[in-house]
Amino acid sequence: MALNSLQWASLAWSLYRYATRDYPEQESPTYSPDPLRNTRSSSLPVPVVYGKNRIAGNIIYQKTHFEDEQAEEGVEGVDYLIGLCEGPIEDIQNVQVNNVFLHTVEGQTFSVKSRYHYTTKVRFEVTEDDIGGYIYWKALVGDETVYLDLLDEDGETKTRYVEKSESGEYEDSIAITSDEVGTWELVATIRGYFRKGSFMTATLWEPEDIDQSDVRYGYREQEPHNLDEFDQNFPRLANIYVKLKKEHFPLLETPTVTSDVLGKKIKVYDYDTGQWVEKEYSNNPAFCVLDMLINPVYGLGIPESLIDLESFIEAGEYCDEIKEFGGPTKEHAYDEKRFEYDEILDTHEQAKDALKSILSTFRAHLIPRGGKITLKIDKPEEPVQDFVFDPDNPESKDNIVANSFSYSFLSQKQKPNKIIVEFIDPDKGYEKNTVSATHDADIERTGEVRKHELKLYGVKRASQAKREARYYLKQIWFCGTFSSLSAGIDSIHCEVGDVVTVTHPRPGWIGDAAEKLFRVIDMSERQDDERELTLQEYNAAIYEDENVSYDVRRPTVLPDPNEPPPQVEDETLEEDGEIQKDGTYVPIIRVILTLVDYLFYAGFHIYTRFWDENEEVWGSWKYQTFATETEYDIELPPKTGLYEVKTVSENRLGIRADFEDAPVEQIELEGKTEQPLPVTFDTDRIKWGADYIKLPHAMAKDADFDSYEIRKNDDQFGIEDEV
Amino acid sequence: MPRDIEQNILDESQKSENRPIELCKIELNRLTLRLAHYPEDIEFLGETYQAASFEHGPISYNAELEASRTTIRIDNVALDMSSYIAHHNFQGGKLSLIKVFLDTEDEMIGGIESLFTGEIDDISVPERTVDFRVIGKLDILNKEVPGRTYGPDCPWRFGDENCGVEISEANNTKITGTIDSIDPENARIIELSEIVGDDEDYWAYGYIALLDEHGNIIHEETRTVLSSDSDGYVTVDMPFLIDPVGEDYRLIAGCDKTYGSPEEEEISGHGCQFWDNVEFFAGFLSIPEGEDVRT
Repeated sequence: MALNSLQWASLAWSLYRYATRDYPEQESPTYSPDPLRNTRSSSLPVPVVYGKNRIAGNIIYQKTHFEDEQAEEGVEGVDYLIGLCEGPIEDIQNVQVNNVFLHTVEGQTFSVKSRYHYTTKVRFEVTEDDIGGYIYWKALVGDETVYLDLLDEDGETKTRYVEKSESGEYEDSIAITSDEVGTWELVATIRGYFRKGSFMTATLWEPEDIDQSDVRYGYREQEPHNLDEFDQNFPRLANIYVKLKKEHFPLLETPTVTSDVLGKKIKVYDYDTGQWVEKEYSNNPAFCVLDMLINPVYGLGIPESLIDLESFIEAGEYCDEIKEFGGPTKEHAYDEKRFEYDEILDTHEQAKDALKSILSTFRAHLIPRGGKITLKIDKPEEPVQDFVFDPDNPESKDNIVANSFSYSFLSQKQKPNKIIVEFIDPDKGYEKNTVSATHDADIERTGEVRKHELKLYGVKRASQAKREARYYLKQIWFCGTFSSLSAGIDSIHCEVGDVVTVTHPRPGWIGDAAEKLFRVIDMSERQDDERELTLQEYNAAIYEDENVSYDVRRPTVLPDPNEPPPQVEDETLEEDGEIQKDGTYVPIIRVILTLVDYLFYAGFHIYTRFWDENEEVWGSWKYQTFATETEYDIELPPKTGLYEVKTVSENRLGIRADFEDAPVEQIELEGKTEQPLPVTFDTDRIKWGADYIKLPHAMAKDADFDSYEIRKNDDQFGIEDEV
Repeated sequence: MPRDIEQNILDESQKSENRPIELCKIELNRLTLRLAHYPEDIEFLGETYQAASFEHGPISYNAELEASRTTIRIDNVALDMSSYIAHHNFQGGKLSLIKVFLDTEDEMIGGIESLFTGEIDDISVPERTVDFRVIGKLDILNKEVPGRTYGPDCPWRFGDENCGVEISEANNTKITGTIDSIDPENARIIELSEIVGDDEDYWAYGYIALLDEHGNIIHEETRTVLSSDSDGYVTVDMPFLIDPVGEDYRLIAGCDKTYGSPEEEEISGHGCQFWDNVEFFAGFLSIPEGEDVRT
């Protein structure tokens, strides 16, 4: 039965509606139009995270700390246990609270990775008390080399424990014995652990501490957090525990906590060994589909015996193929994997819709074949069967049933000439971004822009999004012929998804040169031993998707408020002083700061230390004040000598510049140097006795007056003779 | 990837004198019907397919993730199908459509093509036919995902790999035996001598199923256990369709999906605390209410 043109149009549209998943956006905590925020819901699904994504999560436990615990008054802080997603997952990174990275906040132990690298040099002390524990370190090596050294007394390298210069991520621990006691230095571009408010790249851990961290990766067997009063294990749930204090975050409004999650460990095929691996992180979309099909907890729980695993191996290899697919410009194209999939499935929906969201990222379909589910990617293929109706050729082996053939074209008015793909852009803070592909010639000819938007939230790369926009546009414009035919039982050796040829005189598809290539998109079997096939035009050129150019987001010239602020450019110290009512002279150091151009300065933490002349060592840094102006007076004890002043800048988010690198200036305080007022004698009343001199005078008016010193007018004026 | 088909079938099928024959096989718990859409009975793989009149709707295959489904209409003029339906539960039964080829001598050509295999979903019985709607294996694509929610009940199925409680006779979570008697006043109360001495309500929330001669569970004869006592009696939710006395059964323990009450010294509920399995409890009991940090 032939379809009328309207049915054809519907069918054709359904092809690329396949990629236009109706996201239940209003219900999705991640993809709704509202800003990302934490939920507190018992009805939401536990999300499934494939690949790398930013997620807020569901608060599943809360503990509030009060100044007065009895009366529950005065909120001091609040702890949140936040459920993220089904586990086990690969990693949890870049935990932020109100867009402030938690690793920059005192008392937190979260790691940072990805784009947020810091090159740093940190010294730390290992003492006798640490023996039996570990130095636990992690490093992400980029262009620099990582060193972890034990220093000698002169601060030079005594023993080099770690040297990594090959790009990669490293982590290890060093058991502390008496040999490891001393001063250590780590120089790295690192993924660090942070404590005590400053940037630390290596932290001393007691052995039990390693199991006490604030993240759980969602294994079936995992320990409850030690601060959870109910000792809940939350098996198979990846979660984090954050401890927020009022001095760091406003707590009256629930802060938003987000995490970058490297998602599910799934069953993948190792192409090197030729073996399946049961639990490994992957964002290969073929294996994400397989996981959704077989997982009994959050997926469909389909037995593997009903799945054509070979088709997944073939599709997975095609996804993983690395070629020069795209880049900011044709000249700057770079190698990348053909297809990746990174998405959060966090709303209840029918499995076929969830699967579509994955399948649409890599042009794939699930097809029942031989009683099994087969994964089929729309890609270049050779035809597997010929369908022929050529009554004028006696040699022809016709197999198309007479009067069953028809063909049609997609409606011109229904063909969009602009395809917009909406994707999630990590470079924009995991917000939605768009790329497009346009048929400029048609727009120019018709003067009309007919756009169609595809939501591919499983795509995180602009290059992949652009390739998909181009693919769908080309499919609409270059595969717009559809055909329907019936054939006898010999048609059963092709299946849905296969490419076939059609020879028929009505459209003039006769002869080897003119035979038309089609892909089978639907097949219906009737009891009269005939099959009706629906076919879409096949054109191998639409799969050509290399050298895709796209515009990249231009880097802003504005500073990132989440980065530590720059140090002050220069500081000048001046000595001043004031005499208090009781006559005490208080020395003052006036700090005059010269700043670099930066929008987010909140103020400056000023520290001083004093040079101990007797011991010939510097004293420890003493915190003086938090200055909000560029000129600030520091009052000191009445002690002259050599001082050093250090200024650490802080931005509006409370993030401080590195203490170790903060600028230091010296000043020698002289104290009060002005001479006292001269003595005024009442010369008319001076009396000279035999053994005395009476010297009437006005009392000194200096508030810090102590005593007079009187000397005889001999040759030297030098013999003291106090009165 | 072309579908494989034996060349001899392909050759024979294209002979004008040969016509493919469709067979229909319906497999129920205690009955297998074999029908041939042909004027005479047909022997196929050592089994007899009775001559019958049936037809089926189109069987569709596509890439739209729609479950394949079709309808089978079987002639019921003699009321034989009505009789089967009256005595057997067809819903959930497996139905297969098979295509075979006979030559001019009515000899079977070696080889078959399975047209369709699915599960009988619903049945309607018009005046002269019986209509089955059959759904293919992919129908689970309509299942809702992700499957787990942040609800308070444990989502694991009792005894599955996430739950971890072992279902075995050694662990006293599975019993097989023969039903001794039922209460003449209440057919829901069943005597099982094998559980005499077990704690009261030990088997609550589990299920009991009658077994066929092969030891397989009879789908429609499975009942939920409401309570049990130490004298060997269990109370089930509904009476069995057949008289269960003397029938083999399998009794499986169950749980009420709760954590229990950790504040109480005695074990409460029939969940993770009862089964000493709290570390694998996967419900969410401490989700805070509202936005106020003081709650």
